[in-house]
Amino acid sequence: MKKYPKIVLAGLILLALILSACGPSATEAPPAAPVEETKKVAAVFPGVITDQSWNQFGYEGLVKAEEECGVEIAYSEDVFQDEQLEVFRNYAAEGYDIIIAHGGEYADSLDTVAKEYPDLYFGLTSGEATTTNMSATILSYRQMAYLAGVLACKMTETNHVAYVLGEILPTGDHGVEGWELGVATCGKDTKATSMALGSWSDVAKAREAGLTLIAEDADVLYHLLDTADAGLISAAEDEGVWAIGLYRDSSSLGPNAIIGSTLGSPGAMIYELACEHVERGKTVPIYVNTPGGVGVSMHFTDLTPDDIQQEVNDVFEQLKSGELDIGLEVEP
Amino acid sequence: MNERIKNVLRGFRGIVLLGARPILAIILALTVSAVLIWAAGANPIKAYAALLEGSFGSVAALANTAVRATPLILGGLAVGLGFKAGLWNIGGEGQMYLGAATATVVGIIPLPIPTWLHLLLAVVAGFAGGALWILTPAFLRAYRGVSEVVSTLMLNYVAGYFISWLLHEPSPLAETGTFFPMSPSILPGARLPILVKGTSMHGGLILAIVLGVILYFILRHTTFGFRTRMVGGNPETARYAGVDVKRQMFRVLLVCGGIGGLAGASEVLGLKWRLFDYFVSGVGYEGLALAILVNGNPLSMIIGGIFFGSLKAGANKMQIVTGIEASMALVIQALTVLFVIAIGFGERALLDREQQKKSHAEESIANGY
Amino acid sequence: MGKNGDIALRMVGITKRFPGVLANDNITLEVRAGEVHGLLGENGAGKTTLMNILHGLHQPDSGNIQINGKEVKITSPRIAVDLGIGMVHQHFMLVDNLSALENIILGIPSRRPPLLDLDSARARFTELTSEYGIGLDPSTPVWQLPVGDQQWLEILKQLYRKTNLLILDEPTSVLTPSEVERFFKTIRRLVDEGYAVIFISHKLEEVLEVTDRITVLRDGHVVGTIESHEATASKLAHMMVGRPISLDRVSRPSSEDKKEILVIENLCCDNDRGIPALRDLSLTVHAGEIVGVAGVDGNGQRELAECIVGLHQPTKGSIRIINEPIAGVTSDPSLLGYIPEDRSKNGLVADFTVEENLILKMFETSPFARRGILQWREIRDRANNLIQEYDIRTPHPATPLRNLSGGNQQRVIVARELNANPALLVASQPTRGLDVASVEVVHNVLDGERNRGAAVLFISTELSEVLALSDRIVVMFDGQIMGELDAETADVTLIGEMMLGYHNRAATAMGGNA
Repeated sequence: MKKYPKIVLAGLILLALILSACGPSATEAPPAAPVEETKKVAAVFPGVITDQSWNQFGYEGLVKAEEECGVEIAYSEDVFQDEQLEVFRNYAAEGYDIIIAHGGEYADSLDTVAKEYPDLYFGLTSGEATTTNMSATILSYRQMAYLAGVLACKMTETNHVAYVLGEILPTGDHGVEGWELGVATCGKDTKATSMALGSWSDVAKAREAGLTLIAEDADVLYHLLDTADAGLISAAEDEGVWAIGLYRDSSSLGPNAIIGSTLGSPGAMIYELACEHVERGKTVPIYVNTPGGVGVSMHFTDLTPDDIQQEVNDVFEQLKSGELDIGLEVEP
Repeated sequence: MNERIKNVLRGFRGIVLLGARPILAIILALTVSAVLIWAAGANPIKAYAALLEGSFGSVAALANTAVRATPLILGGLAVGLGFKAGLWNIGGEGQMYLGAATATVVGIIPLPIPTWLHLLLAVVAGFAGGALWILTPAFLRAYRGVSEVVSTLMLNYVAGYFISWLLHEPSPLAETGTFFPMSPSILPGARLPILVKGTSMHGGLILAIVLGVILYFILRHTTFGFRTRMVGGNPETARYAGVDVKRQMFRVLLVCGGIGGLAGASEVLGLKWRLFDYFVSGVGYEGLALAILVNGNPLSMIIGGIFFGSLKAGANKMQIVTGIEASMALVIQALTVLFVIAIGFGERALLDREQQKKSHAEESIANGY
Repeated sequence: MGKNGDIALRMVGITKRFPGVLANDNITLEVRAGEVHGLLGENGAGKTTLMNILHGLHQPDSGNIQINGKEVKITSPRIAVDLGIGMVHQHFMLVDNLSALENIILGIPSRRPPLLDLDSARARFTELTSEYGIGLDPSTPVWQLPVGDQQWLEILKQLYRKTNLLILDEPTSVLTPSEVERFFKTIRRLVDEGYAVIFISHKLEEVLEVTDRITVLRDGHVVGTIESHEATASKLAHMMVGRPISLDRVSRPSSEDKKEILVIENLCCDNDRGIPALRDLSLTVHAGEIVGVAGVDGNGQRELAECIVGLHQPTKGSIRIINEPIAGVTSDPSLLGYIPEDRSKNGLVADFTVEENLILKMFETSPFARRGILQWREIRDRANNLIQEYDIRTPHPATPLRNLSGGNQQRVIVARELNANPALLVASQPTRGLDVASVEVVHNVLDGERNRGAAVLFISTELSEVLALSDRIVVMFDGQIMGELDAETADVTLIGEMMLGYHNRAATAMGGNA
């Protein structure tokens, strides 16, 4: 008798497991009849492709490749660390031509499988190519944060702007450097704060962090978050300060707060790999000069005065032309 | 002689009944899941065929199953041993993290010793890490009466954050210049050997199976096991039989934690060769599910773990072939365990009713001494 | 409600068969309005089945039931309730977190759903309690009520539902003697008002005291129905068991051996909640005698037994068995045997097999374990021997204990505790909940141990069995020994007074023992 409550507890835990697993149900099967010469591309995601962020944007890049480059696609989502090798090998054995892993945590496993299948082609995002049958793409958070920093320092009235990151990863380090360089361009001694939230998706926590920063007089907020961005931007919206979006036009999250967004999607990394735009064995950045409309750029809302839009656009053009060099994650 | 045969048959019936519960649960779970698969628009038979092929259909598939089964078996043993003493170690995840961390620390330091010794040291370090992690909950449970369910569960989160912290620079355990938080690579000499070339099947499975057999032997054939089971069966009686119940609980929980640590160590030393951030993804809880499925029996744990492992390995194949989410494996697992619990409740009710009836008969003949 | 003397219930030719068991064999039972009808029988005699049929839980295979002369089909407990049949179970059916009043109206459809009809219920509650002189506050949560009051609450529940046939299953097992007395008065009053009461009990004395007529069941059939004033305890016991049973005192020579086996000096200890349970208790038990410990339950008897066997830590004082001081659990089976008061709680492990239960105290000693490895062959041999010697009915030594009947489980304890011929035997309420035949068995075991030369400390709240079995009697009250008497010449009134704590008078009468 005494054991029952604990068994019930265990049951509830399991039920929760079921429910969480049930969430995203089955995905469509890949087209049944492969067309001759069509390359089969498989992408592997660390989370679900409906997460409104890293994985979803990545998946959108894969779909874009299907539409524009005529490849046949398949994917696996929620691929955890203990199954990486297995999933890569499964795709390799199933005859996929290109296998793309979406995230730096796949580097080791992809390297292993790439060496086992020298005839296949592998792509890695946010990582480095380690074999000749592998390419890697890195989204330039450095350039995005730089542009955001330039915009922020022009818009701030309190001379305090803040950058909130999920965690300080090596990608984030570039972001922080870009941010600080960008904020410094105005020359008016603006304080550029960066902080790590400790979570990519905790909306409530991001909002708390936003409110705290605003209480410390920060009046422009930028971020490197996943779904937690909604919390940060809502703080700006409610307190009447500015915010800058990431990846896509974020004005829907805070119509009165978003002054602009740094565009440049994780999907671009997958798109470039899936369409074989990257030379084999190379690691290239997705940055201002990436062609095809998938590179880094700037989007403004009406809240940004035209003259400031123009000034930031000038900086963007200087980056493009190479006139201005703030460094890059990797050489193009 | 006749009586003896009867007894043997009776014992056999007991084993069949014991095995029947999980098997019935598995059948029910597969049936319900087939409906789910069908509802998701795929052919369940094709899906299960892919599942089977992906788990047992080739050497690579078998290797995948083995790789998946290893942490499940170890994690299940870490919970199941506790069951036998009436304790619920929900901290498998945290112990895996810590065991992996300590094993990694030993594994990345070059030592002037033979490789087998280096590996052994790393494995032992993994055990110690897990045991260390459960030290506080174990003490609180045994000597202060604090529920181990809550304390071990909470420490899982602490462990996750602690490992994150360890893997972010400027920690000495963080590899520099990577795009994801990870430790330096485990030295080749401290890695668990790969058993089948070209696959990831590593020595962790052997570790898990041997440990399962050892635990079975301990529980059944040693005074430590007898004491453990007595504490689980009836702590009051155990006290009367001269057992230091608190000390036994403490010790059992430490061993549970240690085995949890081994589960983590085997993952880094055998599969990943590095300690990664977030490398444990629910295996600790699946170990709990497994332990419930087999009621803590260490030998059944091996079979159950291979079953769960085959589901997970096969599910990835199933996803590639039919497009059914790989997380369907988790659904099947969870349903299986829920059915085991449900069947358990049903059996208990049935047993109570039978007992009532039997008592009519037995008491009336049992008079006289 | 019928007029007194009318037949309130008639069950005719009730037969109920379960697989392999004929639980009720053509049973006929007649209960009149205005009588307390005792239903006696051993476990398995068919009482429970019969009452379950009456309560709508089982359907009889044949036979019929008449209530107030009308034939009825009781197909569910709900119908039984509608017919005015109410049952008070041995284990109360109360919800601890609800108040007394809420428990009363639980399950009764409200007149104003979905709201509860608490006000009118409260009025009726107060009416009933004052009518029967029961001091119960309707708003007290059940868990705060003493067991005696919970019993009242169960009965109130029935009165509230306008029950007129009340079935009481072992109602006194949780009550103290004075509560029992008050309880019986209320029952008498109920029957005077025309209620019919079926009273199920093991305790022959009580049945004789409170009932008007008694029906005895054995092996599923009726042995007979007799008027209570014509019955005696031994006659009833004979009817129940089918052979003469002796529960009465047998005179016997006192032991020559005056060796002191158990010596307790100035023992103090706290109970589980930290309240002093034993206060400066001193007691000596000699070889070859049974010292009976009488007293109302909860006066330190349990702590006394547990201190002796080492489960409880004394705060002061000393315990010695054959001059060996006791600290912690004794592992030497030849020193101490213990029959605990609740065998499922601290004598046995239900999930263990019979053979495992038989080595509980010795599993670490040779030959059952060597270097930490259990020697199953030795364990099995021992189990087989004990199973034979103590007639334990089990299909196999490796059968889980939970599959054995209560009596056989008790035998496992007896076998384990007594086979090494301990110098001291502590038996704490060893007959609680046992039927009359098993009680006799336990009594014979204790007597046998005494005659072998063991010192026996026999703790019981049943004064009659203490009187019947002991050589000497000590009476406990509030953790102290009120006095000591020779069992041959003991005055029951005096013991009763001591049990209630009249220390000084008792001490004087005894010539000052304490």
